[in-house]
Amino acid sequence: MDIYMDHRRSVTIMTLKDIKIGETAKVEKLCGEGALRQHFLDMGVLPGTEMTVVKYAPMGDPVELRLHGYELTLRLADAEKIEVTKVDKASVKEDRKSGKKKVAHPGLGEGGKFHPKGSGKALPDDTVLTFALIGNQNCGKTTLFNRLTGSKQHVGNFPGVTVDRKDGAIKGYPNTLITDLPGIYSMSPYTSEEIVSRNFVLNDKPHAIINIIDATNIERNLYLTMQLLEMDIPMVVALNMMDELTSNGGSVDINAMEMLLGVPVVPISAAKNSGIDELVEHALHVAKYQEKPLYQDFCGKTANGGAVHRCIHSMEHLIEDHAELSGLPLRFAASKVIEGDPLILKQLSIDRNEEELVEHIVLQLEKERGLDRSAAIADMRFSFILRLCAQAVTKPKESKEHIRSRRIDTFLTGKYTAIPAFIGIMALVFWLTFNVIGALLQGLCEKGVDALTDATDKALTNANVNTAIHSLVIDGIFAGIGSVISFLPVIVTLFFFLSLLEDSGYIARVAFFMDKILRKIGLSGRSIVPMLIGFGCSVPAIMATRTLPSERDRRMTILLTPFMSCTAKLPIYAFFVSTFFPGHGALIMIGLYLLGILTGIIVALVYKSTLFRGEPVPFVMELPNYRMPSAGNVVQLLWEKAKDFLQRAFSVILIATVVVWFLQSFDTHLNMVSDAEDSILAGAASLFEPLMEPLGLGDWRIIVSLFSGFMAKESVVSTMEILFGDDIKMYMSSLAAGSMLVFSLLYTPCVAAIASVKRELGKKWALVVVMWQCVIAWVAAFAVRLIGILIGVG
Amino acid sequence: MNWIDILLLAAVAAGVAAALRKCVSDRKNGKSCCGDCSSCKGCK
Repeated sequence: MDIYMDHRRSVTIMTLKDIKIGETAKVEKLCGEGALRQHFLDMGVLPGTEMTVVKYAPMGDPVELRLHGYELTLRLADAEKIEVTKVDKASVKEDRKSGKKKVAHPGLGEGGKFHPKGSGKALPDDTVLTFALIGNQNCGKTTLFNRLTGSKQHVGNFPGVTVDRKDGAIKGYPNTLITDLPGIYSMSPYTSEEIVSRNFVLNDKPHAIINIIDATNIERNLYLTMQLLEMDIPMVVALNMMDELTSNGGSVDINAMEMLLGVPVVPISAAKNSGIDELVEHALHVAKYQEKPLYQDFCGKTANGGAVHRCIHSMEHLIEDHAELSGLPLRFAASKVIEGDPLILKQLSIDRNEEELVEHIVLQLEKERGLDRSAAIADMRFSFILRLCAQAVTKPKESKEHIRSRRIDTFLTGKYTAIPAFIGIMALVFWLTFNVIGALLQGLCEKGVDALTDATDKALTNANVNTAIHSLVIDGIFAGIGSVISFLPVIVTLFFFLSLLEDSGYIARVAFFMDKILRKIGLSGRSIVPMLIGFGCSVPAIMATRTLPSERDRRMTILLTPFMSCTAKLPIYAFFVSTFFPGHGALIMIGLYLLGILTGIIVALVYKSTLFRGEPVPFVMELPNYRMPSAGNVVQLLWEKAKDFLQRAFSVILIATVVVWFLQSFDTHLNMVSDAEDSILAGAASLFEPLMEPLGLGDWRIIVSLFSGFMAKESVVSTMEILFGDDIKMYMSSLAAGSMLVFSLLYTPCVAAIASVKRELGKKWALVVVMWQCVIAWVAAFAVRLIGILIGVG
Repeated sequence: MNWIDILLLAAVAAGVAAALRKCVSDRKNGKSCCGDCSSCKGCK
């Protein structure tokens, strides 16, 4: 789009793309269509909104903007769809004055003036009161959920940590059930999470909603509140992060806000555990007495000629019977019909004649208001929010956290420093994990396991224990589980660093500056989040793809995530490196990780030009402030990881080691064999020898180990330890070890990851992933062997 | 086989049975999982 002159108003119209860093522009028109446009409107990009360009990503795209007191990033291609006029800097001023007058406390949700205790329709005492915890992404929902329920769900610092609902009872109130829903910006069906949250409220009909709001970013957060009020369900607003707001000079007149919204508002700080008891008290009260919001009508009879007001109300009359029949809240349904929400229109099943009436009413609205339907509704909501803020909120000065974030970002997302800093940080993480902290702790752990094995071995020998049982305990269980347990420190250390990066807010920045690169392989910057989690474990990584708003991106990211080497494969790498390539640990580890990424890129390019043609999803994301990772959160995460690892070692891996020991110690007539070559296991695995021979992995013991890796990757090492004992070097060349490393890196993910793929994409795709990855692994391992032979290695 | 053999065998059998029980219950609960419950967002 070109820059042109609007002669009627004597202003130059340009697109947001033409605005330079530090300049402020006013939105004139939002072009484009569909869900993305609606999403822009929901995020507050409305005609009349002023936006300041904060910075461009290192490769010039996407762009970071500041509007309504928060930072939003979007691609230049999308910025081009927003027509703006430049705003003179002098006219941009922060309104921090507070012209508030005293307002009486309305006593909502506490047996106050509007709802005297006992006056409402109280639910029977034995009713399990259900609550939905809803709020924007990254506003502290999970922290509040943990406070309310006493549970220990993981909390992150990038938008979209919660991708599935979580349930729990409020502490001290067993007859309650609170559901933590994924963070959403509006009740428009833009992402699958928004649909999950919306459907929960519409279908499960909780007794009350706890709407959590980030008090430091009140304008944008209230947009969702406005829509929740339309749901006509008892509600309490929890104003979170009030400590941060007040410490930066801001304040909220709670009474005035309650009065304007018609629901109880409770200032809290979930992180500091303040205000929680009061919140629970109000929530229980409104749920028990079914105290619905006092107001839903925020359109204003005289605002902008009353066009929106008349449109909404006539729509309400028109669809009233349909809304009742389909069980939809009337006001919500009316707004959605005006916005043209296809899911709601379908649910209402209005007939053709009514459809025409709807169109006429909406056209009249557009004509009178001078805005299109979606913009008119969004504008009505934001106008109310601005009025509310003017009356009840004193905006804080720029927060310490924001100033600090801006300073850190000049380096970590700087034009020339972002990519080198990212590479440096990741290299440092791997170096510290594999060569310093993890390696040191692993050495200690190994010594402990060896000492325990020796002591047990001696004790069993002295006690004259039966040879078979002695072998089961020492060669089976101790060798198998012991070898896996010694890798615990490395895995915990890597998770420690990944959780630091995630909690600090850095991963969201990585998504920002990696967007342009990822777009080249057909993905969006947001895909980097699941992929980085994939370096920890593929299961949560695959689940995390639910934050991606496009099905195409989601499928592609799920299929690529298993190429990011998970921590469960570390024992395999560490075992082979220490046996065959001592002294080259970090080099080989980093090489393997890079090979996984490289293979992922090649496969992505293949997908892009075959299965997943088309453009990646637009990149619209909020950048959170950097925060100091909470020690409690990190310790809790590490404990969970260690516990999980130990549980696995003593469940799946214990069973695998006992089964493997049995199959390799007995023949088909159940006689104990002196040479494992005659065992049941050797016979079964030898069927696959011709297939693995070209890779130099034709030994039945290697094949069995790889099979056991399908159950859990750590099993590969324990199985090898049982089958080979300490003399693996006698049976395997260095080249075969290299080929094995590459095969292990790329072959099928474990059964848990495949189960996740099945859950997300279906059985067919799960099967495709298993076969496809095995083929890729075979080809890559064969290539390694071929190159090795050609250059004369092994 | 002496009593220590029987004791050891019983201990291993009990361990394997407990491990199997955990695997089956995890599966029943839909947690066919890596058990990574802190960040796995509910294996349902």
